[in-house]
Amino acid sequence: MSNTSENPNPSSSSAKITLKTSDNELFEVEEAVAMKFCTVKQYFEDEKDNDVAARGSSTVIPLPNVHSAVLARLISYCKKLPQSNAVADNHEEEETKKKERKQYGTPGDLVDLISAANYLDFKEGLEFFNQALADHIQNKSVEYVRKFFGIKGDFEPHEEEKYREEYAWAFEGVDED
Amino acid sequence: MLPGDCVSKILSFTSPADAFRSSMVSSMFHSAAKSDIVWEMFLPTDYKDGVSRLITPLTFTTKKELFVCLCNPVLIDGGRKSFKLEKSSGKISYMLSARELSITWSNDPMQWSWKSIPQSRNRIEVLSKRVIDGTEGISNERKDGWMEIELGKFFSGEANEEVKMSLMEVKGYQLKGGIIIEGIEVRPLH
Repeated sequence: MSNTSENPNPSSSSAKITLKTSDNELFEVEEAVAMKFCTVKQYFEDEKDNDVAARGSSTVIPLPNVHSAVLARLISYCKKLPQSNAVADNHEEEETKKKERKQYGTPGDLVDLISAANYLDFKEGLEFFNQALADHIQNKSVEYVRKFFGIKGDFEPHEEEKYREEYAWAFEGVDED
Repeated sequence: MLPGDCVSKILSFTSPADAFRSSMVSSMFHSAAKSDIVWEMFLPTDYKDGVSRLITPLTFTTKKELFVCLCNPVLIDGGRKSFKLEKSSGKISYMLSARELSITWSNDPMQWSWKSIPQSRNRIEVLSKRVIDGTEGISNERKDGWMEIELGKFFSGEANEEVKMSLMEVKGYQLKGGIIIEGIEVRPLH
């Protein structure tokens, strides 16, 4: 974990902002990184307007919905943001991007990353992790997707049967789980 | 669990087939999979242009409804062309009717005649060869009952380039007849 709360050199050249996670960990991050999280940016600007803190480094921004483990991963993602999220225009490029997305761990991790990115309004991250999750469920069966998200189907058996009949073509040829 | 908007966003990175199937995961997925966020991504980028050229305007309230409508061939450009989306991928295919093609002697009634036939998707005339003579071609039967001959494959690059398609006899000079040309279909490969 890249917890930098005990930065020995608080007066370093670039401005730092302190973020406090749900498990009370403190993260001191560069302003440029923190400003990618729109929720943080908004909070920071409001604080500035209120003149509560003249110096950014003295403000602690609470993030009650984000766990330290997830924030650490989001920050490290921020630091090596891919050049662009644009749709790859050839097969090879798409495969490289897929590999890059695969590095972001298990499905459970991705759900946490997406929830946090959504709360933080971190658009680039959200786009990237959503796509990474989409890679996992593409061409998979309904049962697989339910297990993946840990949710139960809540349709009446006859409703489900009717739908599966009507859209039989969409249920054919899915990957083996 | 993730909020519905996030699920919609995730589904928008899959395919129409995935979205149709995902509707059955749960009622939350069902509503997330209906979202315009999802279907906007599955419609071709230039769908607005295609829709503006329809000869019979479509009525739809959601992007998904529009997508479903466009999975059946729709006539554009005065009925001389049509297009449709492939329901599983959203890829577009076009049909250029016989009236859009340049066919040698097509205006000579001794050679060809223009007819309206109800089976034609183009709803305008097809071109029928007058002179009857037994011929064999390399053709495949389609689901809609027409026969088709593959003219070739091409890669549509990034730039807007023109593609020329043509068909001609290269050996034998017998008279042929009984052939009815509906048009040329341009469709995506997999």
